[in-house]
Amino acid sequence: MLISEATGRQPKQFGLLLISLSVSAVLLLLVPNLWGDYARILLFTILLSVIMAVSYDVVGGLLGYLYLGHGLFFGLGAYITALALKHGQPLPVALLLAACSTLPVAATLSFPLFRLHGAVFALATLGLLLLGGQLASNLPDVTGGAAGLSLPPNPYPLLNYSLALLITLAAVSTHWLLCESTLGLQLSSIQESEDMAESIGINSGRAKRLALIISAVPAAMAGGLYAREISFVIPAEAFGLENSLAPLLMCLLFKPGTTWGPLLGALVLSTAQEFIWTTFPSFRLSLYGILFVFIGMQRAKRS
Amino acid sequence: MDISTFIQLLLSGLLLGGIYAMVAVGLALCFGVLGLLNLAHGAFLVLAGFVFQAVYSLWPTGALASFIMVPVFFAGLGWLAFRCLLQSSLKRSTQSFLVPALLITLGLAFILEELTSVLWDRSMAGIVSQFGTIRWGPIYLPGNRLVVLILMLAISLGLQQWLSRTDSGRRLRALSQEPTGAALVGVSLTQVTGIAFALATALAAVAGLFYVTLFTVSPHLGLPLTLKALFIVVISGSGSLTRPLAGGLALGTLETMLATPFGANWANVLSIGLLLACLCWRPQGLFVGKKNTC
Repeated sequence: MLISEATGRQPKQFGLLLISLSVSAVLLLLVPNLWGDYARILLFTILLSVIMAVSYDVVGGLLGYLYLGHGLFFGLGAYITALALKHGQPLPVALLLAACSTLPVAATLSFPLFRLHGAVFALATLGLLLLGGQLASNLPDVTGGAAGLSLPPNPYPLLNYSLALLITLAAVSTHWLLCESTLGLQLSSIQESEDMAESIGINSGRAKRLALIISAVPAAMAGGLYAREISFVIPAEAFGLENSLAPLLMCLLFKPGTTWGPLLGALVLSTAQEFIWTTFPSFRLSLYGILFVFIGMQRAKRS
Repeated sequence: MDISTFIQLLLSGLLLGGIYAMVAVGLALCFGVLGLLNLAHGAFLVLAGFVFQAVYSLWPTGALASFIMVPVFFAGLGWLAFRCLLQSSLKRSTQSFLVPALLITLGLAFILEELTSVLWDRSMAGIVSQFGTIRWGPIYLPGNRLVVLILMLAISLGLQQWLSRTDSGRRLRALSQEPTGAALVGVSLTQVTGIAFALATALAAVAGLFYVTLFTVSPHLGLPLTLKALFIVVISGSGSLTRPLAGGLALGTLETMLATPFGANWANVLSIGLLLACLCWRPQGLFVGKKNTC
């Protein structure tokens, strides 16, 4: 009954969401023309945060796992895109390539990872992120090692910005559709109680694997966009902890498991980052730390 | 590789392993009693290393005194951190505490890491050897390393004695074996867990002192080190201190041995990969027979 209810109200609301998102996308497309480069770069950063937060939410919110490995796919996407661009591929092809090659990686990793639960899952995903960074700096022939890959400067900054808008649009609407779909409901029920979900016939392994894949692909594309914008990829940044932790905070700040929660979280936190961190650059980590402690204590009270 | 190189490698492997073991034992103490995976452990270690180096450079003759003072200070710091941040979130069931505690300790790790890098300006710390080198046939052993090796043995023996002989040690073991039963006979959860956390932090500080004497510490060393030790603790399964001790020693030795043919960076990759593979293979712990989810 729940499923039919959800699917019943799907088309109308989704239409509204799509229209409002498209209108705002068109408006945002005008921004660089009106306010110039600073506004474009600021908005680009915010858009990347939105993609990361919304895609994080599939595993971190809907499924409710404490997931610290989102940055792995971001870094993977960044490196694949940078390599494809270096071999003369155009940006859309490079991004597509990043998305397509992340898919099997996420699918393969999901098998061992989802044998784990709770805190051990969190630790293992954090370990994978560190492993990704180490591998990137230990394969100098492919990735340029710790010195990184540098790309020629971006010839079409507006193309990158519009692609970011398009991917954000796609990520947000995918998330919305997912929330209302059978898979989304399955994920929420696994979060409530995995045993119960299995007992009513949900294939929890399949649902979780799909969740990881759906979450990884947008992250890889965000990584690709980042690589093109910065034109320089190093392991410490591409596989940096921040790429995992910022989406987590954005997702948990308001209401995880909804579309508006991570969306709003990303908007608020990335705007705040821009203004706070330009004022106090040396207290970046502590601010994260304080937010983490705060959110952890809140969670402990609830559970 | 001839035999003397092998022994030399084995010795330095055991020293690195000794540090892993001390970190892992501190973490296992918390994991066994509280079900707490403390991500801030390594940050305490690094901070202790820097504090010790600062004290040592100001007051070189008081090395021994500061060797005792620093861990005591960190025990207090750990107790304070536990009281302020973690105790209020502690629930009867450790399962629901695991994930929030991970978030809180991760936050604490960041705050400590930034504190260290702001105070010491992102530099590295190390201490030059005070003792001479001991030579025994073809094997050289720097005096610092010998002292550390002896102290490590002494501390693990002391810990063992404390756990099996003293009243507070027995309370701690009771709580980790049978929380409900221990609570029924009047063991106070908050008191014992506070002691366990303080002791674990003191152990982290001692490991930090050893680390700074053997190698150099940098502010960003904490998290990878903690993660490796946590993997060892989870793989060992809860309820034992000897298994994490052995696991730490084994990992350090393996890493040093692998570093000769593959280089230090690849040895690191291989050791993280191996730990991850073990974790995914037997999430309930390598030595635990029956399946319990955690």
